[in-house]
Amino acid sequence: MNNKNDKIIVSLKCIRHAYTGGGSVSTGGLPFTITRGQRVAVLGPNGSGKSTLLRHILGLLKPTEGTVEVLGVNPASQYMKIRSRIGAVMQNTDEQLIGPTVLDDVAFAPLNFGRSASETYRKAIDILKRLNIYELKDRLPHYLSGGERRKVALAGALILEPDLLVMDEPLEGIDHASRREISNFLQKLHAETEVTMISTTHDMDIVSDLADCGYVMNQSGGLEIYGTIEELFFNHDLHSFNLAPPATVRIIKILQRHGLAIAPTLNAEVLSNRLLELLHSEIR
Amino acid sequence: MDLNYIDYISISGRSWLHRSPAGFKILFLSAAVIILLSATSWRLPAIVTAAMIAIAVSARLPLKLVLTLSLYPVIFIVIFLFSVSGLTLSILATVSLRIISLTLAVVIFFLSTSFPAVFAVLGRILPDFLVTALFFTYRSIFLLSDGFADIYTALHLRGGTDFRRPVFTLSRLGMALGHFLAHIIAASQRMAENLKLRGFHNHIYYLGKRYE
Ligand SMILES: Nc1ncnc2c1ncn2[C@@H]1O[C@H](COP(=O)(O)OP(=O)(O)OP(=O)(O)O)[C@@H](O)[C@H]1O
Ligand SMILES: [Mg+2]
Repeated sequence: MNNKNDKIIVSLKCIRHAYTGGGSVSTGGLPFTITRGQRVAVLGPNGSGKSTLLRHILGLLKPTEGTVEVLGVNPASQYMKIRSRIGAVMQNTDEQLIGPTVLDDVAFAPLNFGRSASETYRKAIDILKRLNIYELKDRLPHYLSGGERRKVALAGALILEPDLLVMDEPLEGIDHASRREISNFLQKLHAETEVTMISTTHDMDIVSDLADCGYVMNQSGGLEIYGTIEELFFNHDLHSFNLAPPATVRIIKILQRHGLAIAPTLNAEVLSNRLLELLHSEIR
Repeated sequence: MDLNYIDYISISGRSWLHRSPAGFKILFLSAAVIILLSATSWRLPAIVTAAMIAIAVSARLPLKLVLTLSLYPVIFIVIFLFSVSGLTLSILATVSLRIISLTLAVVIFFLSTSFPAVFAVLGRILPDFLVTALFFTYRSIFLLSDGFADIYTALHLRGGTDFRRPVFTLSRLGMALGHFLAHIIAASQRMAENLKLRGFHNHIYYLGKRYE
C-alpha cells in the first residue's frame, strides 16, 4: 500500500479550541498538512497558539470545531493506537520526567509499551551517551537543572525511535555547545530514519537546524504564511509576527539594498564564502 | 523539616552505609524494630541508641540533623508521660529510650538509603498500586515544595512579605496560597498529560543496576 494518503502524517482542518479557563484558539487559514519525513517549524508570537496546536496533534486537546488526523487516526480518541510511534517534548519539562532516576525515566515509555527490559536498557544508555548526559543516569529528576531536564525529556522521546517527533521549544535553555550537538544529532537521526519532526522555537538562529519549512502564526492563531525557512525570511517581513530574522538574513538584505547581488542563505559560513569570493573578484 | 536536604544526603552519600544494599538495611531495620518493641528494660534500648549513634558517626551522617530529627518524638512522650500515674524513673527511661532508638534507626535508614533504592525493594514485595502511589507521593512532594518555594520567593522578591505589616503580609500570603493551588492543579494536569503520552499503566519500572 503505497498510496498518497499513506504519506500524510498529520493533517489539521480549521480547528478551534475553547479552553475552560476562558482562552480560545482557532487555527485556521492555511491547511496544515505534514507528510512523512518533513521537518516543520511553527513560529509566532507568545500566546498565538503554537503549544495549543501541538497539544491537538498529541491528542491532549479535543477540538471544539474541526478535525485532526495523525498517523491515520483521530489522536484525541485513538491515541492508544499511535502513541508508541510518537515522541513528545513538552514546553514545561518539570512534570514530564516521571521515572525514579534519569535512566528509569528515559526507559519509562518503552517499558510501558512492552519492550524488553534488556533492550530498553541498552538503548537508554546509548541515547544518554549520544546526548552527552550519560553521567546523569543515576541522578534524580527533581535535582536536575532546567537544561539537563530538557535533555532528559528529549532522550525519553528519542528512545522510542518515533515516526513523529513533536517538540515544543526543545532547545530552550540549552547552552550553545549542547544545542549544536543536539541539533546535529537530530539532523543525523532525520537522515537515518526519515522521522517527521514538528517543533516550535523563538530562536530564529536555530530554526533552520530544526526544520526545512515553517508555518507562521498570527497573534490570533491563524496560519498565515508557509514556506521553506529561507523563503520565510527572505520573501516576507515577519516583524508584525514578532519575529526577527537571523543575522545572516539581515546582513544579506542590507547588502542587497546597497545593490550587491548576493544569493540568499541562512548559513553564516556560506555567506562569508560568498562575500570572500566577491571581494577576491573585485581585487582581481 | 528540610526534606530536600534529607533526600540529598541519602543520594549523595558515599559511606559504607550508603553503599550497602537497601534490602539488607530494610531487614536490619525491621529486626531493630522487633527487638526494641519487645524490650522491657531500659538497657537494651540504651545499647541500641549507642550503636545507632556509632553507626551515624561512622557513616558520616550530619549528627546534628540526626539527633534533632530523633528528638522530635520526645516532645510527645513527655506530654504522654505526664498523664501516666505512678511514673518511675525506670519507666520513663525505658519508654523514652525505646522511642528515641526507634526513630534514630528510621532516620538513619532514610538518610542513608535513596528513595529509588527503597522503592526498588518495595517493588518486589508490595502490590503495584501501592508502590506507584508511594512513588507519586514522593515525586509530588518535591514538585509541590519546589512550586511553593518559587511562589514564596516571588512574593518575597516583589515586596509581598513585610513582617512589620502582618495584615498586609497575611493578605499577600493568602494570594500566594491561591496561586499555589492553581499551580498544583495545572501541574497535576500536565503530569496526567505526560503519563498519558508516555503510556503509563499503573506500573513504574525501576531498572536499577540489574543490567549493568
Ligand atoms: N490551560 C489553559 N487555559 C486557558 N487558556 C489557555 C490555556 N493554555 C493556553 N491558553 C491560552 O491560549 C492561548 C495560546 O496559548 P499557547 O500556549 O498555545 O501559546 P504559544 O503560542 O505556545 O505561546 P508561547 O510562545 O508563549 O509558548 C494563550 O492566549 C493562552 O493564554
Ligand atoms: Mg508555547
